Amino acid sequence: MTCKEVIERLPEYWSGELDEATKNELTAHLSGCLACQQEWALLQTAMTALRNAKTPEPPPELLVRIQAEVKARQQRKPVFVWRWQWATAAAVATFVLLCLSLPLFQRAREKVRVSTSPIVAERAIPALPPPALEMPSTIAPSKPEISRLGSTLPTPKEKLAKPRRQVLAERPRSERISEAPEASLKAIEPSEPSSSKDLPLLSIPSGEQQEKVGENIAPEISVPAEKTAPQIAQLPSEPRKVPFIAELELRERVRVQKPEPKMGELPPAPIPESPTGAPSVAGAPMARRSEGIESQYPAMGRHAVPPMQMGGGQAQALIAVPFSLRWKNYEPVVVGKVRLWELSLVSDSPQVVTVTVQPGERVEVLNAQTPLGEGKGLVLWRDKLPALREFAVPLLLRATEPGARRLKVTIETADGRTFSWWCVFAAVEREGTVRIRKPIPFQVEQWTVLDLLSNLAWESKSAFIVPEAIANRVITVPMRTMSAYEALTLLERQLGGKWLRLGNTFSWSTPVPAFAVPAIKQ
Amino acid sequence: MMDERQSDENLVLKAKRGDADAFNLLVERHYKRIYSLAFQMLGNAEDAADATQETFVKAFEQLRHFRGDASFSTWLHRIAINTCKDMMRRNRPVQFSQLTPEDEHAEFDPATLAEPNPDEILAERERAELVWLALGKLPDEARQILVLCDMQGFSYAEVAAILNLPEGTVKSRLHRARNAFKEAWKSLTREQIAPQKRPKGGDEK
Repeated sequence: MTCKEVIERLPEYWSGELDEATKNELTAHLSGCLACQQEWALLQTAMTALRNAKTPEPPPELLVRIQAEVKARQQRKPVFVWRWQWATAAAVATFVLLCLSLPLFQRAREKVRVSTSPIVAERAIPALPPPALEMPSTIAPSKPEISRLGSTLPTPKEKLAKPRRQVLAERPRSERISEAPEASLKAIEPSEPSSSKDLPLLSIPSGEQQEKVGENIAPEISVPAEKTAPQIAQLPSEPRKVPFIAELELRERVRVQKPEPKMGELPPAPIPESPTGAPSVAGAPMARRSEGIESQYPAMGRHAVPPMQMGGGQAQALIAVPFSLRWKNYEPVVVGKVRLWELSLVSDSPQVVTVTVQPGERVEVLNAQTPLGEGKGLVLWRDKLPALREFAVPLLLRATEPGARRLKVTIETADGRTFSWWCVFAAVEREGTVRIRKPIPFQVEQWTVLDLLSNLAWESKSAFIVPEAIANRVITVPMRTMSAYEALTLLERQLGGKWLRLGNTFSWSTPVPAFAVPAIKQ
Repeated sequence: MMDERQSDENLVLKAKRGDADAFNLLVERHYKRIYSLAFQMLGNAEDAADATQETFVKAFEQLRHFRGDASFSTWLHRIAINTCKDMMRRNRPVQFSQLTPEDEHAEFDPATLAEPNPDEILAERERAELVWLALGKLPDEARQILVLCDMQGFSYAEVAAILNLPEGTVKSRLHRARNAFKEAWKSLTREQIAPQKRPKGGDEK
């Protein structure tokens, strides 16, 4: 037997599958051949390592994720694989269907007006009066399902391209309407006369589109009833929603510091350059503005603002929100994709905290553990935090359409105090590279922070996380072309805070009111 | 609650009749194994999770075609192997970045904090990393057979069923794969002994 043959047969020798004669021959060869001995030793080590290699445990949320996805498929059954060849045919079919069911729509609409819940009605009404007709493209697109129905004839490509621009336009408006009715009216009025100025970034007002607005009034109104009116129940199977996939991750850390032992003395500030003894932040962040926005997220707490000194027995809270955002590849069949959000709470002491996530429109929260169900606000977790440890709450989200989307994350401590943040992010297909220096024309002066961020998130393909306290503040933006970078700087200046950047996510850092930590027995 | 001890076959029958709980139970039973297979095939946690999910979604959608010629587990593994192969084809080169998400959790697990000897853990981790690197160097065919036989511990017959190959072919491929693995291992250990440092799998997740 030559060395080559021996080496070839070593695996069999190792697994003991050779017949007696060959085995003896090999043993004999090995005892006399140093090179083969080395190979043999190597094989043994390698195979042992291979067999002992440990694979990690699956991520904790995987099971939930799989079951949610299967459930989603089950509900969507029969699975309809959309192919562009079919698009035209289906478009025609939908059109015919629509014609046939138009009377039903009308009836449904009547029904809606009578039977909707206050929330739905509140949303529907602003769209009802005649102004909706004169509204530039901003309102009509806000109900893409329906405007699509009206315009069944465009080619699939057109359909694909449209909602992406529209969603943005739709976002701020619909949100305003649902959240703060009075504010929304105020916001709409000034923008109406200058139709081209309204939300200039997004809308491409064209005659064609305005025409459609008119056509679509009736179905548009009935949209909120999509779920309640059985006649429209066929709509969801209409697979013209823009398919995209994105994976999003949120890491949020809430660090709770124990109260300083000595009263009347500020705790050592975590940031060397921060002015001690000046808990108010107003001027401080400006000096380091550029650093904050450009640098990668540094060690936690580096940019955090010195905590406010609170009365005895209470702790200060430092909020720093590292938050990362990653987009996954494109998958044509699924509309949206399950996403994972992780929420980490860092605490020096055990606490009971409730985390609630309230999705905005077109974002569903899927989570098998929730007692409240999809799309509602849900209590995700309520447990004692182990001391000094981190706890991750996995959330499964599904954005049903691309666009600037938002979520509200609320943390409720045991004593009933709540802290909320808005997360505004761009749900896009494929890679969303951050385009923070891309020029954006601003043609409206007054913005609420959240609306501005929605637009910036979309334009720059990034995400923002802001405390609720500033989300509805109105800021003034000069009407000219500037980059998201500049706009964010303006926000910093006008609101006295600071953006921290991690990847494509910006988080707002200001002192927040202190957490009242429930008395802890040490 | 469903009886924990029901056989897979029983659950499959129920799931076929549209019992969602039955399928969920099947997922619960098998996902860890499928995940580990996917991890071994793909070499990173993220893709492994995606592949696991895809496997079960496919299984769910194809369930009515499952006739029970092989066991459910075999069938599932076949789907998983094919899914992984598809994925490897789609996103080559395979990223063998290691263990980051788990490390994060581990770091905060009090149980692991109590571990006595960090050096030992490090050495073990290095060795484990070497395994993934060596596996990553192998052609798909060799990797899949090593994963199934040596890592998942399936018998020749089971592997033959999963891969739809005659047993003899499985054996001869396995021997070749083991030798290839040894060669990959050898070249990697040489690299490691050599002064220049191996590039770390710097993937953040």
